[in-house]
Amino acid sequence: MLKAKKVSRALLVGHNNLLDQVVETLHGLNSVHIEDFTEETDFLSIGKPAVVASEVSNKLIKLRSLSNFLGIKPKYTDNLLDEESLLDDFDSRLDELDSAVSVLLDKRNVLDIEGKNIETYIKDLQPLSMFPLNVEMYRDYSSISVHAGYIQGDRTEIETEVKKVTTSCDLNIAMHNKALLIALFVSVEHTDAVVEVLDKYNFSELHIPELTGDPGKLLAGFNNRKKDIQAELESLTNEITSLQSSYSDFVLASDEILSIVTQKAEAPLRFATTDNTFIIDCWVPDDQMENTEKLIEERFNHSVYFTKLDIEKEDIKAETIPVEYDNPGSVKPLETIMNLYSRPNYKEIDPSAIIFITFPLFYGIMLGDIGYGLVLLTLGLIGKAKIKSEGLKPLATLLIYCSISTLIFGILFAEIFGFHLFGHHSIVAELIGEHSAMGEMFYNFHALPILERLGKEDIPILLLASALIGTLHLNLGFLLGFRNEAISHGVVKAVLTKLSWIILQLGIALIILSALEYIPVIGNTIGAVVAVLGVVMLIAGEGGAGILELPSILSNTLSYTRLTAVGLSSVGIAFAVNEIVTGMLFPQGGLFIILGILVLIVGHTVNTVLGVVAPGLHALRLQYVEFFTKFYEGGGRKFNPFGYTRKYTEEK
Amino acid sequence: MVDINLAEASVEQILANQRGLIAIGAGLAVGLSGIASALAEKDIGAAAVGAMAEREELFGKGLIMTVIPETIVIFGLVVAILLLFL
Repeated sequence: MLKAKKVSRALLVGHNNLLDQVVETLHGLNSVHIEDFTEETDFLSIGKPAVVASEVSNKLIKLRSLSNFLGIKPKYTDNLLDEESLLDDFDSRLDELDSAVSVLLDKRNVLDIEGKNIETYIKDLQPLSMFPLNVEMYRDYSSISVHAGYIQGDRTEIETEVKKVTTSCDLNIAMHNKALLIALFVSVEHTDAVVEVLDKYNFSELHIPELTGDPGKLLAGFNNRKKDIQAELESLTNEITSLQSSYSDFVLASDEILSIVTQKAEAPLRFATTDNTFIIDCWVPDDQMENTEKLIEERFNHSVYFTKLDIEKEDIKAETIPVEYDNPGSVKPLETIMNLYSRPNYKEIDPSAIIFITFPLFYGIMLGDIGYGLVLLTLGLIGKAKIKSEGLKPLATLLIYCSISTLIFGILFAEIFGFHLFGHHSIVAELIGEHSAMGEMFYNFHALPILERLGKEDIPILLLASALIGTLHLNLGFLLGFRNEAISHGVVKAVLTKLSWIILQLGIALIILSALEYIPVIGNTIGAVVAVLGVVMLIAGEGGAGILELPSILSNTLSYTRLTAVGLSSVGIAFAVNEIVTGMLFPQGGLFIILGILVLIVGHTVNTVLGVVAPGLHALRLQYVEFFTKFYEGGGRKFNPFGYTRKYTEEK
Repeated sequence: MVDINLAEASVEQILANQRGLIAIGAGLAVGLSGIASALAEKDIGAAAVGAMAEREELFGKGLIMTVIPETIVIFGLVVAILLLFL
């Protein structure tokens, strides 16, 4: 906790003959982070992949393209397939699937092409079907030129213009899609003159398809065929779906096995080799070190040399050490929030365990409502039970943490969906009467001090409390920063850059306290001296830029007032909804009661959604912007163990 | 607005008038700071969406960057709360 998992650097050296077995052993351990070898020298070169690598990757590519065609998505399953039996008939099943898919693919291509052709024919034939002429009549003349197409202009005007050129012509005019359509047959010698006339009216020529017969009949035939093609494509889609469901387990499982084989086969590409030996440079977690060393010794009987390097002595930079979180299970979900920002580097504090407390705390202070808390708790529990995805599961757990804190603060604020649950404004007492036994109990419930978020007296307390929480949170940040800075740049630098802020705040606090007359007036002067000392230290540590940073202490602290403000806005919305319903709609009776219930449901649903989003974002922001900037650097590399976490298969 | 002649106004009228001005002040505090936040957030939001189109995993960072200017409106809200309740 608070620190990344301790790792040590180790080297494995052995004869090339043993390489495959060593890879197998390391892969089985799934706890060693291999450092890629990149800088080739005369003596050392990058290893060569195993012979099977290219064959297996080809199979993998084929499998993935099939999986892509079938649209197979990763899923969660309890039904693990046995690796050996799967491998036994893998090739035959892959071929079987491949041929089934290629048959479907061919069919689909043929249908697609035919469908496209038919579409073109239909488009060409539609205007032609307006005239009582067969398609072949529009082409293949030697002495007649044909002009069929759309034209813009007045019908009679065009007719007269054409007649002016020649009267021995056949001019057909029709309307299609609200546009004027003509089919003009003239003798070849008038072509140029006619084209000139037609161009004046923006003539655009139709494409005459290579077909024969009546366009209307052809069109009907094509439309029927189009429907048939659609039906065939649909049945093809059904076939693909059934193929997908029957092969999905096989595809996912074999993808996994092939990935594992490829991973092992290509592993030498990450190692340094000489003509006869290999060198594996890796990181091993300290708690796995003994185990790893023993296993290598047992399996290879000292013929593979295993040596541990001392990180401290080697003076390795923190950024190059892979980081694996080391948190108890309950803190794990918060690592998602850390990753969203940046993984901590190896030498600094991992604040997951701190935000495990502060994130839900801030969230709860802001939302603070028994009703919304219960809704979120239900959502979180459902999410935790239903969600199988590794990426989203932590978020459901996080929602549960936040809802518990919301419930606690809900009790403190005595709020349920914006109503007061107990105290002198208790909704229960109002509904069933203050003088009934039950009502009185809620009315007089004073076991807990109730902070009324909409009460005039309590708001200053809440604002002050949130600023105070902010001060504590910020100073925790400065202390963590002090520790990180002391480790990376020495104690003096840490005192000047981090402790100076705390001293400055102390000075300001003294000035405020003496101004409010809590301490003697002399505190004023002492405070000023302390504050100036803080500023001088800061300038000594950070240089002139430190002065520019000074106002941030005020804006950062005030930023925490959002704990009250965001909360108040959510109470405000709930209050407004309740007021509209109980004060304005319900008293009118009749239909208004139904309308009121509707407003109540919609209003509180919207507020719940806002209640998840707004406090979530603001709680997150207070961590990232106000807290982390005081100490956190991040940029750690992920500890990526060489191995594979199986999801669909098992080894027997 | 109701025209009030201060010499003739009753105490209730003056108080009501003050309450009205306070409410206007609170409204301005939230409204104007809201516009300020929006102006700042619009550019960041657009850039964040652009970055997300390139790399989807930037969603988290983009979201955080986008809500940073939210502080402006929070300050406005706090001022409004102070005006209304103190």
